[in-house]
Amino acid sequence: MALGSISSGWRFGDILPPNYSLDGYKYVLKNKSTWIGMGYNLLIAYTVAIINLFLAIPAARFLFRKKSKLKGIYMIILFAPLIVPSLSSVLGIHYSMINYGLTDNLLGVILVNIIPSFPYVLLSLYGSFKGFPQRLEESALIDGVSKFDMYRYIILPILLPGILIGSTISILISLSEYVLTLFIGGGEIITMPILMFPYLSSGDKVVGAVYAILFILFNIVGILLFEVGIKFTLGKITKVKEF
Amino acid sequence: MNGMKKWQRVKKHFGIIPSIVVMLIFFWSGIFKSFQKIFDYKLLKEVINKGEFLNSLIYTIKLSVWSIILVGIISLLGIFVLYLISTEVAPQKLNKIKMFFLSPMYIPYLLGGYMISVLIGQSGVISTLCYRLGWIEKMNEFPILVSESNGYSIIFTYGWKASPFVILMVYSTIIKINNEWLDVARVYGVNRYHFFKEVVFPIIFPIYLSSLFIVFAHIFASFEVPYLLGVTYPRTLPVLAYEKYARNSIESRGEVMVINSIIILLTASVALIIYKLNRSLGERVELELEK
Repeated sequence: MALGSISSGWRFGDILPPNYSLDGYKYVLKNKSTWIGMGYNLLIAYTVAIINLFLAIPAARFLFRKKSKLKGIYMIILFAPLIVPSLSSVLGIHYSMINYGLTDNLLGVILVNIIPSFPYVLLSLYGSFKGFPQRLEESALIDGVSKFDMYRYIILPILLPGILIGSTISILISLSEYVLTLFIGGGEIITMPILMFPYLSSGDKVVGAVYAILFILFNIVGILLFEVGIKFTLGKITKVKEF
Repeated sequence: MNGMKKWQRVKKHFGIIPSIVVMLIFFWSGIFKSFQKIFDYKLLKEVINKGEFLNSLIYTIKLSVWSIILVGIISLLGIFVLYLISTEVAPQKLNKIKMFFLSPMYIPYLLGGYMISVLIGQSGVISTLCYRLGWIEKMNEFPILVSESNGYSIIFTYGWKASPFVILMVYSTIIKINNEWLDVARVYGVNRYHFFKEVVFPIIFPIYLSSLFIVFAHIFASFEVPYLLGVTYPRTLPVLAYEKYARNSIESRGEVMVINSIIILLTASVALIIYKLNRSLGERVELELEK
């Protein structure tokens, strides 16, 4: 595939392409929509990841700590998209989304992208609550630390591994989401998977390969950037002031 | 005082309420909307009588079953190899090896499908190798494996892409199994293969089986790969539903909702099986491991 991306006139029967050229890359990179696609992709994936984290951290804490009769129902409500396809649900609400003006725009796409990724974020955060002593929270609360500060100085630093894993999965999922974005974005919101699709589907050896390689690199860079960003922000937020 | 207590009880739920609300609005309402139509008996009958639906249903089930058989074999081999390595290699190195085994997971399905099509297509890599080796003389002597009605390329894509997930799920149980057990077993003259078969496999079996069910539900309901590699006929159910809706949304909306709810019902029943499996077998494993 890597060879395909820089080849030209690669015909059947040749192990290696006869000529090499960067035409494929030129074609893709000169195309303005590639960059727009990447921009939308990142914007959607990052926003979705952040929303997911805000939703999932308190939810994971609840599921792990609190006892409630409703817990079983909550679990079903929250984890169902792991199994039940989100496309089915989105086909169901598409009509109402049109009515509320949530189609063909960024907001709608962001909202539907939450569905498939949220359970994974919740799952990884839930995992990192294991082995986190509850006494730590309790003693902080007894010492008169406000709830907000407890989240800030105790829960966030301990959850950092879970946050990193969760956001990575969330970004991976929303970066490569194809059908939900296509469907709700209605062609207004262009992302990389939507741009690549025709080339991939026709088995195009040059442009398809270029897109595929670019997309993998783009995924890696996108995730690394976010992780660095989140480590930095969390470091800032959770730094304990010295007295 | 009583009011205060009630307030406390409500307040306890604050953490989870936002996520519940979001999921109810954007996920569950869609599910329920789809279900409204399935009670319309006439519509249901119409859809089932159309042939197109049943064809798609059978095709989807066939694809999913073949895929998980392939996934089951590949992942079991992977687990076995990983286990053999784990008894010999230091944990640090093991982690790197694990990453290698899991690497296909990080490649999006779309690209996974494309890679398979480049690999096994008529003008693909394997075909080229066969030609060079003199096994075939012309390109079209190579069997058509992409964009044909049996969905070989789809099955291969899943076999390759979904196995790491099963390995990952099982791996977390495997590392909990004490290596000392193996030492004890060795004292009694049991070798590693036997130990795997008699001790490790029964422990991992429930999680292995339930992750296969997850994969089954996932493949059954997935859209991207069959849309990318499939043909216009037969189509898998999700593709059928989407295409019908996207083409002429208003007229066939009811029909789509019926297909939709059947997909949901099938995947939900698989979820129920997973749940039961985890409950009965999973708890036993937890007990075993906590001893």
